[in-house]
Formats: sequence, structure tokens, C-alpha cells
Amino acid sequence: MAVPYVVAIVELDDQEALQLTTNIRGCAPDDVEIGMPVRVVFERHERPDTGSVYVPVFIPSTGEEGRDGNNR
Amino acid sequence: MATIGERSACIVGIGKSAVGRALGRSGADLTLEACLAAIDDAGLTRSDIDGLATYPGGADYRGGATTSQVQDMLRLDLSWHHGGGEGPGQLAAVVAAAVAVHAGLARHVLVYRTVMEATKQAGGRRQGAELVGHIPEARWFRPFGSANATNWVAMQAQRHFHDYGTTREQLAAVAVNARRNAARNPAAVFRDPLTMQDHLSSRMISTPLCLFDCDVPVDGSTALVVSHRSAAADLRQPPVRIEALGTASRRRPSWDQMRDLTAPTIFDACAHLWGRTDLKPGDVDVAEVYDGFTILALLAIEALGFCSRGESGPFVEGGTRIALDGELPIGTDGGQLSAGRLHGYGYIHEACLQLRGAAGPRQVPGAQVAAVTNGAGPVAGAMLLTAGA
Repeated sequence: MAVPYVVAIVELDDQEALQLTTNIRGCAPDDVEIGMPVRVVFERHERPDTGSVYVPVFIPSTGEEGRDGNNR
Repeated sequence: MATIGERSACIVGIGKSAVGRALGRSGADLTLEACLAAIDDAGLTRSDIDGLATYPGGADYRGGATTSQVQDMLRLDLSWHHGGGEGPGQLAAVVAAAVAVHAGLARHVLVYRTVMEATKQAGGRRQGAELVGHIPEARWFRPFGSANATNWVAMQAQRHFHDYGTTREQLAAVAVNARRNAARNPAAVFRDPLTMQDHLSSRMISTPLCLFDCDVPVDGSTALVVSHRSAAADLRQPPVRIEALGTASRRRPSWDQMRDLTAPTIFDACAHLWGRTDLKPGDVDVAEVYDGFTILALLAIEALGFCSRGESGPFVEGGTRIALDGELPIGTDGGQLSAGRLHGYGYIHEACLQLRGAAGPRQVPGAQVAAVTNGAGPVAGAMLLTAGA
């Protein structure tokens, strides 16, 4: 994995206290802030053994997708 | 107050093997050295030892020695033995020994912890698969490059910075203090002076934790003899009493499901500890807080109640308060940051030396009460030790 990358714990709007370890993409690492709203995108990875694998990562939300996105 | 059975137990002997980055010795060899030293320190012989305990035992991906190996090498005749990695942090084996002594299952329990982390990491770094076996949720972290405790603890530090304004300089104060103390410990791995600037300019590992915020992997072994109080009085060393243990775990014990990253399980363990003694945080003369990462020492200082939540940064800032002549000396032997990661057991060894008044040039004058914490992530434990029987 190329550095720098951002590891984060994201809490989902859909279910309080459901937290995911993930990456924040789509902005400079220094622009990531605790509490910023994010939304999921699924990154497709091709693997010889299992074929396509979709990995959930998060990007800054425009604010319209959900309320109070929470990056802990 | 409930029965405080751990007060039946004393630490009557301590031993440590050579500790280093490239010793070229096996885990069994180092374990034997530490165990024989502890038994001798207590003024006992192998035939007196009737209990054996280790953390985490044969399941350890870092290597070491199993209880069966140690029993066989020392030809021990055991009435009780235990090894396991699940419990109140690395302290689990000491807790098990105290419980066994109180229950009358054994009178003199040899407790040891051996780490072969330097050898393991030199041989191609720690293997992720091994870590997943130890911490199952880690399989969900690896696809995101959240590979090990440095990444996980870095998030705790980020949250502490965000919520409380904690700074890298405040973290550095813990490492600089540890190094200053290590200069007074011939057995410490890193003894050259470390300045604030050295610390801050070291390479970033996982923001905001830089190289010197992380402890130093070593090979080495530590051993203790935990004995029943009735069997401790006439031995070679003054016994160190176990005043109270803190073993509670009341929140989600997961690196990424914990709800409050700056209040991990060590807060439960420490609250439990203070509920089992009439002593107060102000009675503590020496605090050997877990400093596997500098931020963990800050969290333990808060959890033990030496300051309020969020105030540990200002508490350690400048290093005066936590120095050997400060109001709360920490990391008196250099801690894991400079003396080497003996994985919790270096703190116990050092606390015993301090309470015996035998810590030489780094002795805290008149130390009578020592707090020890282990771990500060999803699992943790705490122990309060006092001088004398």
C-alpha cells in the first residue's frame, strides 16, 4: 500500500455504534478531520484465487448523502 | 469491602535475563536464566517451587518457552501450573499466581514472561497471519493497511489530540523522561541521551506516533516468585506485597469497536483496583505505567486517577512531574521505550526493586507504594504493590 494513506474508524449512520476500520480516500491526508462526514465507495480488487473483491472505503461526503457522518 | 485475596500473595524474588536486540540465544535459554535468577534472588531452590505460570505460554507467536519446557528444564515438582494469553493483559499470569497462592494450590509460584520480538522481527518482520491468530479482528484491519498496534494506537492518540489538545511534545516528554532514566540503568537497551528535538525529528511511523513514541522490541525474559505471605517472611529479600489487583473489563474489548478510543479497558482495571484498597492515587510513590507507546502512558496516568481525563498531556509536559525526583516518577528504569519491551514484566521487576530500596542510582527515595499497569488497548490490568510484609 502506497504511503501516505489514512486509516480511520468510521461509524455508520445506519446503525449507532457499528464501526468499521477503513481508509479515507478522495482527499489529501491532512484534510481528513475527526468528525467529518464521509460516504462509502466500493473499491474493486482482482485476485487470482477469488476473482473480484469489493473493499469498502470512504470519501468525503458532500453533505447531502446522509446526516452527521461520523469518522471517529 | 469484599475479600481481597490477592493480599495473601507477595513477590519474594525477581530475575531478569540478558536483554538485547541481537543476543543470538534461544527463548528457552533466556527463560532459564531469568527463572534461576528469580529463584536465587528469593533465597529458594528449585525444589521449593510448586507452582508455575506464564503469559501467554505456548500460543505466543513471538516465541519463548512453554510451561512444560520450563518445568522440564528445571525438573520442577508442581502442584499447580498455568499458561495463557487471555486475561487482564500481560498481568494475567501474575493474577493467576496470586489466585493459586490464595487458594492454597501452591506456595511458591514461579512466574515468567519471555519475549523474542527482536529475533522475530529481524527474521522478516512480524507476520500478519500470526497476529490475526492472536487478535482475530485484525483480519478486518489488514485490507486497509492497519497492520499492527502502532496503527491502532495512533488512532487513540489522534482522538486524544482532537478531544483534548494533546501535542507531540507532550508525548515526547514521556520518551525523553524514559531515556533519562535509562541512562541510570546499565541493563537498558537505549541509554544515549534523547532530546525533544531528536524525538520530534525521528521518522513518522503512524501519525502522530513517530519512531521514539514506540517502544523497542527486544529478546529477553523476566521472572518473579509469587509466594504465600506465610511463606515469605524469612526469605532472602524483603517481600513486596500485592495490595490490590485490577482485572475488570467492562467495555467492548476490540481495537475498533471500543466506543471511546481515549478511555479503553485500562479505565475499568484501574477503577477496579482502587475499589480493592484504602490507598489513594496520592499514596503512590512510583508509577510503572505501560509505555509500549507514549500515548498509552498518558492514558494509564488518567486511568489511575493521577489527573482528570484529558489532562495527562499538561500533566507530563516538560517532564518535571514524571521525573525521578518529581511528584509521580514513571518509567524509572527506562520503561519499554528505552529499557526494552519485556511486555509488562519489566515494570513489575522495576517496581519490586524500587520498593526494596534497591534501584541504585535511579532509586526513588522512600518508595513504599508502586502502581503497575499492563496494556491500554482492549485488554489491560493493574496492580498496586507495597513494601514490606
